[in-house]
Amino acid sequence: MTWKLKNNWTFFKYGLTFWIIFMLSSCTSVKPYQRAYLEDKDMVFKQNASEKFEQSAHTYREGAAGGGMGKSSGGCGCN
Amino acid sequence: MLIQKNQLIGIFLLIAQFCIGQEVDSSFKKKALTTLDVQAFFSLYTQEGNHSAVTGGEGDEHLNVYHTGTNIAYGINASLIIFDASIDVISSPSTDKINFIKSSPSAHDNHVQARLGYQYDWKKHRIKFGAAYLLGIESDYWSTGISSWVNWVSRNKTRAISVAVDLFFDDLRWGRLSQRKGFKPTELIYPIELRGTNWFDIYHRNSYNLSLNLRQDINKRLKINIGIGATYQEGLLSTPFHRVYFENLADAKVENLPQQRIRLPLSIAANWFFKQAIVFQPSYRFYWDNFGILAHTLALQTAIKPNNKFTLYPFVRGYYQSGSPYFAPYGEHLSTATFYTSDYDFSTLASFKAGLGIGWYPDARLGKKSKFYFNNVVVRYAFFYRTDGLSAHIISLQVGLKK
Repeated sequence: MTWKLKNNWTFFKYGLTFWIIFMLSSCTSVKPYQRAYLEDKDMVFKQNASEKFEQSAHTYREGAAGGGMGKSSGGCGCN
Repeated sequence: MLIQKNQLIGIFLLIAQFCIGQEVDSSFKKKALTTLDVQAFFSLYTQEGNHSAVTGGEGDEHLNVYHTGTNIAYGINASLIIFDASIDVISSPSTDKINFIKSSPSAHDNHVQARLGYQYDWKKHRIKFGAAYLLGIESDYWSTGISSWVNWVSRNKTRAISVAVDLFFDDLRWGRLSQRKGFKPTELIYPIELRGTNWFDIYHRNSYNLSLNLRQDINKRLKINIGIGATYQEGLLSTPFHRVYFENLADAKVENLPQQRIRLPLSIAANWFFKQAIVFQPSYRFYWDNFGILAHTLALQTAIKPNNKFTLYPFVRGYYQSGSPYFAPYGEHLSTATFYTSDYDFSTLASFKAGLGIGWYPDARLGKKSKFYFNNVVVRYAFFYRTDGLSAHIISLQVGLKK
């Protein structure tokens, strides 16, 4: 269990670091008039009300809720 | 260039005449810029399963939730007033097994939630900050909370950082919605046969959430979001009406979990506008907590835009969690264990969700002279399956108006 957990963490940390460096290094300057695609409503990192409701269902039926993903409190849904 | 003294006086008098002679236009009034966004939604959640924690990990888990509500955002110049309200009507025969009396009030429940908030847009510094008060009421639950946030956007808009702090204060005593109890919280609800023992001497649950988000534009078609969160919970984290059956005991006990929990999620999401009509929205989330749960979530939603009025949203989501050592199935716990639960939400499991959403964005005036625009209609269906056999269907409808 401990080994598996440690192994998972190591893999995750290196993977994340590599990915962030790769993504940020490939950033290009975006001019204001080039933002048409970036400003599209489906390019926004925001859930609508329907998606939030699905998210709250995950909160009840899975163990990994909280920390800015859905609510981690306020109603238990515990049947 | 030389200007003679009398010429200068003449010019001055001419200008002064225009200034004095000019009337103030009384018809002009500085008006406040107002916006209004109203979203109304209705959802139905129906679930089937056979691992109810109320009956110790075995038993009917059937559940229906009818969820309806509205989100309202009213903007006046740089201020934004936010009001959200929703109600869940919950029909759950399995919760009825708390006291084994069929058709008792516990088979039905209502969950009311409200949020009132304010946000200020400090345009000079490209910072938005706000706070909200939250209230949640269920028959066995009373939750109040405070939420606050700060968002900053870089000068060229290519980077944004946001920080949010949420505090929840919950009371798990029953009786607030009961006329018989005088609408006052009185006691924790235990399974009927276990009510002779006072299993817990606390009834509160406090949660403190912190989340940080970094949004970065990579190029003119791709942006990413990295989110880090931390949650600390303390108090009664067990559900007092969950039974646990033991290998070497005839009688059940009430679920018992540690009174502190730390949760650490980390997520990465990207939005990629591909060609002219497709947006890919992949995301990955890692989660760890001190109850022993380690989870990975991989999701992909795609927005397909055949024209500027319609969008299709096919989506899939896969989830895996390694279970908590506090979990064991029905009758498999040892009586020597300090902490124990038979709630399958804590077991080793995988889940899968897939579905389709359809969005219609007419962006049309409600009437010829109306200030309101019919903004969006989104219908979503999702099928959810968990590897312990639990399955669920979720149908949602969302309608939006704008001013």
